Amino acid sequence: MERVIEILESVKPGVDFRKEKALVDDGILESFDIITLIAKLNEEFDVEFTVKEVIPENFNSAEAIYDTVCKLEEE
Amino acid sequence: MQDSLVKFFILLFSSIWIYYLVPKKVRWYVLLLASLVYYYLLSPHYLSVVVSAFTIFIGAILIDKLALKKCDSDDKEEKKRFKQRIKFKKRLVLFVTIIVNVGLLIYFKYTNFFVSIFSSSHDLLKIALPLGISYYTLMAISYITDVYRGKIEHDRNFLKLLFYLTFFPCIIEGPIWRRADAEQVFEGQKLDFKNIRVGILLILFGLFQKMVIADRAGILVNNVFGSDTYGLVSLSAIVLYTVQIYAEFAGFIMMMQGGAMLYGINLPDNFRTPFFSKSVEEFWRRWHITLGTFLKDYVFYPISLSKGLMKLNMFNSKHLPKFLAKFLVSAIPLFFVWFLNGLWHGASFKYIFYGLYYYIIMMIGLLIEPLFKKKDSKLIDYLKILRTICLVLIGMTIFRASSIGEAFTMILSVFKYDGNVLSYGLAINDFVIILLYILLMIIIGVLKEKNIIVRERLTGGSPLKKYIVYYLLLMMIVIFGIYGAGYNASDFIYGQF
Repeated sequence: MERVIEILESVKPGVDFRKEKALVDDGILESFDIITLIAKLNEEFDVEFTVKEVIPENFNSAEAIYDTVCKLEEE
Repeated sequence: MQDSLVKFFILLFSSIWIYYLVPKKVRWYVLLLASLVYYYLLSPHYLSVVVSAFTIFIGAILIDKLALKKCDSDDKEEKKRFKQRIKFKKRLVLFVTIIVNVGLLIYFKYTNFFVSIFSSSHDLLKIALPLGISYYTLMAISYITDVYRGKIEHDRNFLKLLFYLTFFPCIIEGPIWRRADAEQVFEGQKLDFKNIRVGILLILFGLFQKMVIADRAGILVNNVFGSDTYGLVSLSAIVLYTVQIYAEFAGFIMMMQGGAMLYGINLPDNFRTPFFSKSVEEFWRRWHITLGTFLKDYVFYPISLSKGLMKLNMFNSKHLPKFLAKFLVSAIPLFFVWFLNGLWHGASFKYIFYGLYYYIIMMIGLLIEPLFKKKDSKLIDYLKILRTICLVLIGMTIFRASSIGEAFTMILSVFKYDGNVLSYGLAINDFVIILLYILLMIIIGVLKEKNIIVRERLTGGSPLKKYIVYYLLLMMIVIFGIYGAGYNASDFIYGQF
């Protein structure tokens, strides 16, 4: 989880990722940020995000992103 | 009133009684029948849409059958190979289905464009464009891709898919709804008078926007575009065309949403106060929303998440400054998004240029982003909104002009000697009506930004209030509407795609 927050902070500095629960819905993370974030998550956790995973629910909070990563790791 | 709209209302008001009289479970069959009748009345070329529905029906069944296949072996390597084989087959079915559907669109819509590029002959082939092909092809692609991605299950009933592609409020100008949005229809809607109240209001306000505003603005626009005008006259035509296209497109979608709401069906929004946008990116998130989200979900993300671009993205983010990395990684997927956006709007170089115009603006924006320090103030926000409106006005002029050259002549003519704006078909009263409309839309927009939904306020509470609103709207349409003998109602601009 900590690593996910570090990656998020490197993609979009200045956001309190521990508190934010609507990163996509509130427009904090834009399409470009999500692409960069996915590239970093793929490399860091050796997972493969596909378009299927790119839905707001999976990116609205650091927790949701972490859960998605865990799900992909299991696959 | 336009023929397609008259037929729409006849079908709407004749089918709605039957719809609510039959049992809930079979109500959608009434809508399917009404949609097929509407399609047949407007265009006898219905074979193409049936082929589209059939290909995605078969394609989706095959994809789901492949997804259910299990590997019998316990060997890890064998399991991996099996998974890859299944993935390859699923992808093959997806591609073939998309190619057939896009192929039909290219044949019907773009054959003459390609013939004109590769042949010196100016004779156009006589190919009748099937009604709504630009819209239902995108819906077909979204359905088969969503099944491939596992977001939805395949349909077991072919008629459900045929309904999804031909639902008559969506067939002319969209909105481009998704198969998951259509599920509400099959669940069966019960009669809710709130829906009827809001539906009638949307229909009346949509009709008001089309007949009182768009068709009025269109008089000056038609008289000025293509003729030799300067100064305020050219500027008025440029501004009024944007008013016309908004009032017409948003008004049309509003009528269709209102019509669907009478059946208890919610169609997705296509506009969210687009002229309050602080950038062109934001504008396109608020204007023709269903096309924008389609391009994002089915073009932008698949290209951006491809292995090659992912590697490039990682390399860039490690070795280049952040803004440059963002610029490079956006350049490729956004090019396809805007190229296809332009081409979808029409089969000509002008429309491709129209799409790429926004692409160039966005790319320049990304490149110069670090030069501007981010300061938040109301004044800066207003200036950003004004800048966006100016850029959109130029874009709309390219869209309306008969050629790229004419568009730029028109834009440059704004800065030359003035002419008399009242000599082009509109009197002072007409300008006042259009200005009052703009003011009204600003007020509605401001309230919407504050989460106050005017349509709900107007239709809730005392019954007298809503009847007064209906009556006023009806009176305005009757008194100020542009119609009558000798008047040719203009075609819906977005209906031509």
